[in-house]
Amino acid sequence: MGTLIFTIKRLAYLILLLFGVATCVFFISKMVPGDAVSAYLSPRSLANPDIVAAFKEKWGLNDSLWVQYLNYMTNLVKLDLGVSIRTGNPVVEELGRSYPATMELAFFSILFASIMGILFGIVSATKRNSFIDQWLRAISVTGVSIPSFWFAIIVLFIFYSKLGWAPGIGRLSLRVSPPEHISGMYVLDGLLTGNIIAVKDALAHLILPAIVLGSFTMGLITRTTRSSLLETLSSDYIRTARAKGLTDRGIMVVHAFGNAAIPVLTVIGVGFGNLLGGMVVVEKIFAWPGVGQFAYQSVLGLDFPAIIGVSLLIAVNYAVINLIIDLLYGVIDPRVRVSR
Amino acid sequence: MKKKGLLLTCVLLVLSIASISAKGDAEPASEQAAMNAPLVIAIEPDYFTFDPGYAYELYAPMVIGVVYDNLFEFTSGAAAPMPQLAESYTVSDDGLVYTFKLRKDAAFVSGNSVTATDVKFSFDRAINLKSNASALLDGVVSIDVIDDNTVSITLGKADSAFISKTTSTAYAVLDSAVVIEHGGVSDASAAQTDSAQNYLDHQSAGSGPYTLKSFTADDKLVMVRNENYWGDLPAFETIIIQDMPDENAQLLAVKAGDIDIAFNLSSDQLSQLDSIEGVQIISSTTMTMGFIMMHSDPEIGMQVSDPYVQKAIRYAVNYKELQTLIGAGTITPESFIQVGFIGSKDPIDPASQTDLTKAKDMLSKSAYPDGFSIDFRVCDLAPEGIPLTLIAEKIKSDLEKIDISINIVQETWGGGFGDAYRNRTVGFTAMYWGPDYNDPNTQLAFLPGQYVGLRAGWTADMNPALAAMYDTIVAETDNNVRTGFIEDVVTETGEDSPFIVYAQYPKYIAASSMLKGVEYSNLYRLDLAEISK
Amino acid sequence: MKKFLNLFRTNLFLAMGIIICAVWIITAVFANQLAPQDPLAQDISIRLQAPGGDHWFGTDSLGRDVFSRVIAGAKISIFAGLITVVSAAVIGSIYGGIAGYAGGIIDDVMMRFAEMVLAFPALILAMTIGAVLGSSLYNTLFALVIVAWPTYARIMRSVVISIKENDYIESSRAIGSSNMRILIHQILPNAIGSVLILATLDIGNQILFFSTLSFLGLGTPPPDPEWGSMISAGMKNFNSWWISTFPGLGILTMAVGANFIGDGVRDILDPKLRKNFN
Repeated sequence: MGTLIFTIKRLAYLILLLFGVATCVFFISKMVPGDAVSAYLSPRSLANPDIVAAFKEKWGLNDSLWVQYLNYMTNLVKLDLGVSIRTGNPVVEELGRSYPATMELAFFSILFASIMGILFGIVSATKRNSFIDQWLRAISVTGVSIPSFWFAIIVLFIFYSKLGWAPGIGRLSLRVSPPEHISGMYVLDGLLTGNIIAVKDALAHLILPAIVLGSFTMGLITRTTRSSLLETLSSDYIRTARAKGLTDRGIMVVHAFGNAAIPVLTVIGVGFGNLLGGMVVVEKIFAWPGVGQFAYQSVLGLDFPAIIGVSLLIAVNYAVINLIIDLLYGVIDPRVRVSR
Repeated sequence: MKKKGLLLTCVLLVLSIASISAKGDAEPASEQAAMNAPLVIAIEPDYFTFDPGYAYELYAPMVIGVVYDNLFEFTSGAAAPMPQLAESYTVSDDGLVYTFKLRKDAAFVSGNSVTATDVKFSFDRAINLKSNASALLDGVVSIDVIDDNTVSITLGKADSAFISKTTSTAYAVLDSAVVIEHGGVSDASAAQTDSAQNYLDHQSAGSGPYTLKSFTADDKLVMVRNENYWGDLPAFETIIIQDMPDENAQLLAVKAGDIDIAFNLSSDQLSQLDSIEGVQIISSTTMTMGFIMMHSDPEIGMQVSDPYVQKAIRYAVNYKELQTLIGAGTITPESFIQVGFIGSKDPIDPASQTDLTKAKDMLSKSAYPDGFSIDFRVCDLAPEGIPLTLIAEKIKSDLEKIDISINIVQETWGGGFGDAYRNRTVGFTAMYWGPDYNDPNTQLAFLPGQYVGLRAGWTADMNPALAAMYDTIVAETDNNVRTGFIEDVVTETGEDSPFIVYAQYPKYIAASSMLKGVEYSNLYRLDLAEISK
Repeated sequence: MKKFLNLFRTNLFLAMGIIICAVWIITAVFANQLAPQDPLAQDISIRLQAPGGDHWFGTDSLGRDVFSRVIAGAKISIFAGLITVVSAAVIGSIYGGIAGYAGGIIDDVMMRFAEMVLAFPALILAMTIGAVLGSSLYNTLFALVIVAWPTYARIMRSVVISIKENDYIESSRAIGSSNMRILIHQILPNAIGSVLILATLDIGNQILFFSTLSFLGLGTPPPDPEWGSMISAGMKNFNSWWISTFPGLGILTMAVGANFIGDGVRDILDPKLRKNFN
């Protein structure tokens, strides 16, 4: 019951949040020194007042600010995010197209980050202050410190250009046709339709961007796993267990990890939220047709319907992930359920 | 023990993903390559629509050109437009009414034959959409269907470039029945009511050798051969144009044989292809020109409005080094009529144009003999892959030599620069320009009193004789006479205008040497239907 | 000195971080003296030369010395990291302090707003602000601060709330201290530690974030050398790998140094607070 009320409260708050995000971007968009006119009309068209007037009318730029805002919000309630000025297609459609690509990449990089991060963290904590611990800590700090745009260029240069181990950019090799569209995530769709060629090719293309994108989160997870494990390992109940004669360090770590899972889970969630924002650069370099690319192009063109759409999508993601994590806390550790 | 198990599982998982994927790229290529392989072109795209009523971007014509037919076309290498859907035409004595006879054998993909009604619908729609494309139909007053195969077009004023203009994508002929079915509107309400763009972006309704099969923005575009094409069938059944915004990726992909053509390479990359067998390089000169603009109104241009300062800058810029920077094949035209257009002159010798002594001399005659410091606004665009900011850095270093210190102000095109440029309040900048249609008349916008000229504060009364050349040239339908007039414009403006054309940009394309007929043609396209193995 | 050597034994990473950052700060301060060549001097005739000879890190597409530009670029990166963190910490702390101290509906509204900013995709928000304002160093820093302050607000608020409950605040209120007095004399000194930990951990991130923005074309206008924009200029040409590799190493080492210090400071100041900052 408590969980249900909590969830409802959070969803109500989410709507408030989206409303705020939409309002903010809308007013930022009106602070632009010019308007979309100069970004989208050619020099020759700009010289033609008829065309300028028609453009302004079409995009509702003639109405007063409040009318524009009201129209926008009314449409938003109807889940109509408007039409991208740049592509001329509905923003919802553009996001529907690019979101699966981004989610697929995000999923694999979180997978990479979690596996490696937790592994490194456990090893680091159990071998505290050993040589290997120092190395793993150095790796995790490097992971959070490495500029992803630079890392992306370097791995492409080494593994694609010089060694030829990795396939190039994009989601699939050019001559491999994508699997039948079900979710838009190629690996999943390929598995569902039994298109193994596409699955293999899609996985091959995911490796480099997933590592580049996941390195930051991997560093965070390593750190968190290490420190929370150390904390629980020195805590009372482990000491009690030890006093009772439990000596196998391995079992102890597993016990301790159950307790350390909450902070790790938080970091994974935060990392997932960050990923979606950090996509911009990685998708640009790997020519990944996802939300990040779409956002990048939209910002460059000051295509505000699109920018608002992307911001809302990512804000929803952020909020939903936080909600899921909070709910998972309850599952993992019943003690937190009520207090939250 | 459990810990080791966990560790082992993780390692295995990572390894298995890695091993599956390592194999992944080799297999499919060999399995599918044997089939009739598509032509794969990598491009840094600038397009997002293939509706001829909206498309305006430089690279859209490469696609629209093979999907739709026009009344006239520019085939590669041709100096003058050749008839395509038109069989013949006549012009009234006053040059206002063009009557076109259409060929009878042309048909759309749908099977409908191309008629005068389609021409009228397409042109009316292009005008009434009031889009970027519409600007190219400025001056068209009415389109009248005489009979199924005859259409007449009435202009408001005689236009010596009209036939050239009809080759541009805005004049593409659409299948009116299909477009109407998908929401197309051609009457005056089109700008608000037409809803065919979405259809035309993903499919097509033309009579060209290819049809659009799919287009995904930021990903790729697929065209398939129109098996019922009324002309000669092209060699490739399928053409894929893959978005690859990074030129390095294009280079690597063409080296690896993943793509057949890399469309956007830079000069500095070419040396990497020297030792690669199986790749041919096509270098050409584009019609893109870069220019420095110095506003002639002292309020806006400040120091650079001084004619002596303008001359000093003209002699101080190091054209030779700019050519090196932009790449092999860069040329420096004398004025704003690009080399290659009728009436243009041979490119100037870049080394002799730079003369620091002369530049200092000119500066000493100006109101600022000891030099000055000024803002230089530059936007984030990169014509032919060379950022304007890089050009600005070079110019800054050149002008330092005559004690003009420029402070580079970086702006985005959409976030202010575009507006200021349009509103004629940019005092000192470097910009670029590509022709709207394949005729020197498009360049006359730089003349005093015309809209680009006015951006530099160059009003008609500052040089009435030169300003009057605009109407004279546009109205002159005898091409020989027109050529002479354009030559006069070049001579007049070579040394004396608020614009310094610093370069006409080159273009480099790399293609598999198996391919024949890969040729860059104006404006900004490959003739995709001409490419074969 | 002895203490520092001791630090090496007890906290290797902190010591290394201090050394790395010290080297970079010294480099930045004495950039003009250390750079062997003028970082702005162009020479087209020697463009794109590989590392070696006069040019340890090679030359870029305008024939400028990459080594000198990397050195000069340190100044802007360090400046950007510090300014952003200090401004965000001050703004965020004041904001969070007020919210936490006021409590009730004011707290609710203020923190909801802060969370909204956090929910924004940071890079997209910063890019939009940059695109709207035009790219200059200060506009970019402004965008960074806008994105960065809410984290500080959150930390400050939670610290203030926990201190507020403490007895000694109650007692000072009982002896009639004004709210302002309590805030300044009691709460601030207690909260400063937490903010400091976050701030040191944050510097590396902000340096990264700033370079990402300038990589995307929103940063210092040319020709001033900046690491992020140097990388973006260099990635046009893999063959001239040196143009982007060395500034990349600059960002990496600087961020690693800052993170080492951040970790170390956290361990020293309050090991128990650890989990709040992961």
